Amino acid sequence: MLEDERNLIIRAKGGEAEAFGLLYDEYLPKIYRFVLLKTGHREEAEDLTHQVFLQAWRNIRNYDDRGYPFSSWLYRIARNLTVDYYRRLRPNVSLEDCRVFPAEGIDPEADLDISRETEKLARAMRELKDTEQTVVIMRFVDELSIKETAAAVDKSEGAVKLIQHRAIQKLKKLMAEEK
Amino acid sequence: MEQIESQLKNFRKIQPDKGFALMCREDLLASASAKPAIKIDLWRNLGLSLSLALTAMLVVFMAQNAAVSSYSIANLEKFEEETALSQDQINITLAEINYHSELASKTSMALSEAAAEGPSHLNQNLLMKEAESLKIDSGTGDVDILLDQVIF
Repeated sequence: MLEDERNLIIRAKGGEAEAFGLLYDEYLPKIYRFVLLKTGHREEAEDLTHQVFLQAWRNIRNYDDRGYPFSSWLYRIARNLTVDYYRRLRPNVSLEDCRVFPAEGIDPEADLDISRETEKLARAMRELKDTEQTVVIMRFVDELSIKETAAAVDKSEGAVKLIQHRAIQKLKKLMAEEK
Repeated sequence: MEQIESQLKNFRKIQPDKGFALMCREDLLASASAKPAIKIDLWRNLGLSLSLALTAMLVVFMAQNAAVSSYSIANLEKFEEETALSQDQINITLAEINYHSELASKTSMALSEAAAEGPSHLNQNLLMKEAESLKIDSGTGDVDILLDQVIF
């Protein structure tokens, strides 16, 4: 979390674009990863990420920081948009398009085994329920706290722990089946 | 469990394209500024609230009046119906009063004549005299026969 995140939010709420720009810089990779892992489609992920920040910027005045982390608010927007995306477009997305890799920062030629395993895991993740996917990405990929995750999925912290455990078990099973 | 978790950490290497990140940022901050702040003016808001409250009261008052008026109109119609019925009843009663009054005066007149002249109308001689003056012939047997034929 940014040290002066609270100040940036206050400034952004006041209409200061540069303050929101700094928040964007901080959260863009996480939100992009989150959306990409959910959609498995780079172009769609870029469009949706753009929409997430656009919506956040337009509605930042409605954000109330009392006990509700800004990250959770962004993830919640992202989650809603990806759900809408699935409702509208999922039947039209081919399997070929549903590839997470190669993405910037990963060279599949250099480390083909890791890339293949990770690709397999990405496919297995898409077999999980929406809430399970969200919890796994937020907890294990973006390393958000239980509290932040619970706020984003609108569940209790206990429920998040349970979902997380169940999701990991499912992933293990799905990965074993693929081998 | 640990293996899956470490594999999941590999996803952190995913980064958005730098070109996309830059273009998205510029587009976002240039074209979609936050909605302008609404300046809260206490007195203006107070005035607005009062105006709204007064308008609401006026609307309620007018609605009530309209309800009362419609109720009055309905009542008036009912009243008129009832009045028409009463008018008929009064007319009937007046006719009865007139009839009884006329009857009473005629009865009174007849009684006073009878008291003054005595029962002269029952005098046998007078009746005979009147019968002769009417020249009623005694041949009424035909009529009786005809009546018997009709009846029986």
